[in-house]
Amino acid sequence: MNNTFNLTRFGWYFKKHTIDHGRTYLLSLVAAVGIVFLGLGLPAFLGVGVVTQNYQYGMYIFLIWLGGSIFTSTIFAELSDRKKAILTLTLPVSHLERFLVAWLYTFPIFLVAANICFFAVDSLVLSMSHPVIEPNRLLNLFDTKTPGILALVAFMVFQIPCFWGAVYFNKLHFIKTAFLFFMACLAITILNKAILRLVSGGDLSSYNLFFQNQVFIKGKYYSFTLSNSTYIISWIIYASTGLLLLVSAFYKLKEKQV
Amino acid sequence: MIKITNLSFGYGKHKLFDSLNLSLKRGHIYGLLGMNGAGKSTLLKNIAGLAMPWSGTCVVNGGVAVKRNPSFLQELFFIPEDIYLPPVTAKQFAESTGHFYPKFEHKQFEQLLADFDIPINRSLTKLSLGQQKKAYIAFGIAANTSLLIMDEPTNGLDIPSKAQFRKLVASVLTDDRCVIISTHQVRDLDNLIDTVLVLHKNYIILNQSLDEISEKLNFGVIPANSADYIYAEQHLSGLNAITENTDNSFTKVDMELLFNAIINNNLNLITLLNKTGNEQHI
Repeated sequence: MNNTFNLTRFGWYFKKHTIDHGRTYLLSLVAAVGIVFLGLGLPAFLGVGVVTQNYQYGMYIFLIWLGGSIFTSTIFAELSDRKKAILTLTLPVSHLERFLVAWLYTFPIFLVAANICFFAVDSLVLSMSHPVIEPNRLLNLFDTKTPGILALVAFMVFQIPCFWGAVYFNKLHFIKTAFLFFMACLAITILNKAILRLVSGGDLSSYNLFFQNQVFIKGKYYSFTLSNSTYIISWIIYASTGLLLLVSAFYKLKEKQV
Repeated sequence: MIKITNLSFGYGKHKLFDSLNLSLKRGHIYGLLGMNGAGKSTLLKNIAGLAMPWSGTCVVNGGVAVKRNPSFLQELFFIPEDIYLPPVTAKQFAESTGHFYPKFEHKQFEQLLADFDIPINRSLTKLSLGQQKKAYIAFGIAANTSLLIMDEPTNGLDIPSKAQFRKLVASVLTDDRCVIISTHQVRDLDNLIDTVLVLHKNYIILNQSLDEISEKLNFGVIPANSADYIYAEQHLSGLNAITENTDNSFTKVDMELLFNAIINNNLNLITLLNKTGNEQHI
């Protein structure tokens, strides 16, 4: 028997997870759909009926970013409950299979479900609205003004720490992860400013995460920006950090106790 | 089947086990006794790989428990004191979970549910706590794992169900199976277990079969003025006492009395029980 990964066992576990949690997930999705409907419906039905693409984009990011993060934070919630954890942890599946099912639900499945629901609701609201000026246009994620890739990146930047927090913390997963995330951002920003001040010898006019900033030296403003090659390196650093968090989450899952 | 070597474990700074050693074999039903807080549930969790030892090892069926490998878990079923079941029917639960256990018998599960009078098509979360526990026990028995661990299984069961539970567990024991039952309700294990484990003050101070115990000790009521006993408690018609078995007679082990004697640090009793057969003859 392969103790690391077995496709049949993985399939069984995926099915079991779906049967055991499907109803809860479906209810959460319906609630999210309701919120999106309300959010889109307010300008569509109460104002002049205009729902701009930028507004739709805002609602889209709200659903993906916040909804996805909250959902991800709860994916291992049963491991924090002593009663539920025993049944879960003694089920004969490998740590990798357990990890993969959680990841599948919180990443690809969530994205597909959220996109289908958002565009279904968005289409419905737009078809029901009667704008005074010109017809509303459905959000286009391939438009450079409302890029889907940016929404995806924004989702991933917080979703991965949430996945880590879901395993790491025993309660208040989302709140604790969000607190830690923003504290880490604050610490890095302050550190960034201190390092740039040390390097440039000037005063910095603003706070920025990582490397870039406006600096004031002898009456003149200079701008620190990254060259193309350094820019790629910075993205490699972000990706590696995300990967490291996922690996850390996996090992924490392996060590989970009751 | 289970080999625990130099196991140390605790919570925070509080040490529960200190270099604990224990060896359990197939074909037995072990009764794990101990006072509240002695660490019975924690010991069971260590055996099931649900707790990580500070030091030492716990090996079950040749696999290290704490790794929780599927090959190890498919031969183990753990029934905790406080149970949780998902919001599905017993039938759905068996269909979604049974195939993880290679020897799971659907027909046996359905029969056990019928014996316990549990509706198979009602959501498990809508059953009473006692019914949920019976459904959990039925699943654990039908999983036919080589190791079945039960932590306070009779808590929440009504009196007829307790008797039924004893009958069922006794009937499913085979030479390939090992059952460990932890309880503080010693009477619930009457006519069920064949070996007694007593966990007291960080150590297993007794690991002996009832036959071995009754070879060494006699249990019964003796006159109130008698002083020839190892341990005794007041009884309506004299003293309920444990005496040394010097004439190879047989008496049924009174587990409650034995347990009380041990936790009252009766050193004579503990020394006598832990003597090997040869030592006794000498």
